[in-house]
Amino acid sequence: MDKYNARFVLQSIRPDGSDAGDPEFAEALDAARIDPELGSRFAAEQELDRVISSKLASVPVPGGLCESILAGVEVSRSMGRRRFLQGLALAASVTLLATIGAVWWSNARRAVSFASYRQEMVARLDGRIQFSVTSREADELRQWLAQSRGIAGVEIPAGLKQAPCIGCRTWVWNDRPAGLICFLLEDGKAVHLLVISREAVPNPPHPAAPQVLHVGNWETASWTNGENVYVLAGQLHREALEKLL
Amino acid sequence: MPVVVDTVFEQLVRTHYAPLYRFALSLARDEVAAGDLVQQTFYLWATKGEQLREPRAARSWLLTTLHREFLRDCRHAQRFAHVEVTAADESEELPHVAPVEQMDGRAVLAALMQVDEVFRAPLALYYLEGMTYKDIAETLEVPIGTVMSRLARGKDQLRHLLCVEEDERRQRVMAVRPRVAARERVHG
Repeated sequence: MDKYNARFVLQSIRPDGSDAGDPEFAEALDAARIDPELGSRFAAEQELDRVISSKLASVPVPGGLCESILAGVEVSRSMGRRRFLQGLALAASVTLLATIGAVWWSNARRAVSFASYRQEMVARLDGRIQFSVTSREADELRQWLAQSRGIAGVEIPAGLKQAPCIGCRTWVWNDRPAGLICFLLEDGKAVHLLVISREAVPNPPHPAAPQVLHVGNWETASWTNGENVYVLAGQLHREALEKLL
Repeated sequence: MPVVVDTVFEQLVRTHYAPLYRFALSLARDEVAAGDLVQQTFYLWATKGEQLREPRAARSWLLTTLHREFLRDCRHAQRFAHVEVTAADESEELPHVAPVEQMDGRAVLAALMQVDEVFRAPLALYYLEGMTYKDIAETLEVPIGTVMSRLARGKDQLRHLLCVEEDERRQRVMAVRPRVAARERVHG
């Protein structure tokens, strides 16, 4: 093995010394022992590799990432494995449609209505949901939505006030922030409360009586309360969803 | 407060999420995209991979899946398939360790993120996961010779980028020093 090839092979040796017995490296290591220039280069490279490994291992990981992963998978499991896979496929379709829609948007104005808001936001629930914040406490999530995204005055429906939360996040719809708070029911199913400012959607639902409608894979209830418009979505029977209002 | 999920899965996430995130960050070069890649990988585990109970198999599965997802997202698979196996370029200078020791981990990561994509994944597995070239080949699903070539060329690139990083740092220091010296003369 010439010096050039030996140097090439030596680059694959890990710096912790655990490859010393690997027969694939024996010839190159022998060459490094015989040739002082090659040997000193190899030693310097190994030392540098050790330092690089240790520096990279010290790069911090975002706080809350682990909890976000666990919470997200919990939501998926509550939807059921089969439903989740269908959801992923549907999410891919939604992504494709969204891309096509984005192109179309550059040439034509999108129809903006409460119905289109509900349709679009509920479709997002079919895909994976990554939370910005995870907490079991609704008050913490309401506070985050108000302080970080300006979605204030969120009222939790009576039937969900005792339910533990999973997390929350926001999307942008029609250039306005739309919030999502996810709750975990006793039977392990998740329900999602979507909230957006009343000013952001034309013809919002009537305050007096929630509109209940099946949209895609979800049973939904929609209503207006104060300055906000709400959509509650769950994969439940209509009666079960109505009990949460 | 985190939601309670089954202990085996939670343990798996807690064990692997940090190294997976660093690997994802080195590939995607964006914190949000890296977080998404890690989350997507664990979702796929929850739906497809959880039958693997052997810890080493789980680690390898997660890394391979994350890399596949990255390639799928970027649609770079064809570009990656045509890299030739060649030896490393001969570099004249010995690598300098001391300047890198002074660097912050983020600066080293920033240099790694500038390495060509095709070399970055094997380098990240080598440095972050301490993998052998054979394990890297298995994880990235490329021939062993290709991995050795990519490691050699990638290391050369990384060392060059670390030198550039160090030169820039030195220049920043030199730019500050005359101002400090001038202030000292005025006040001294």
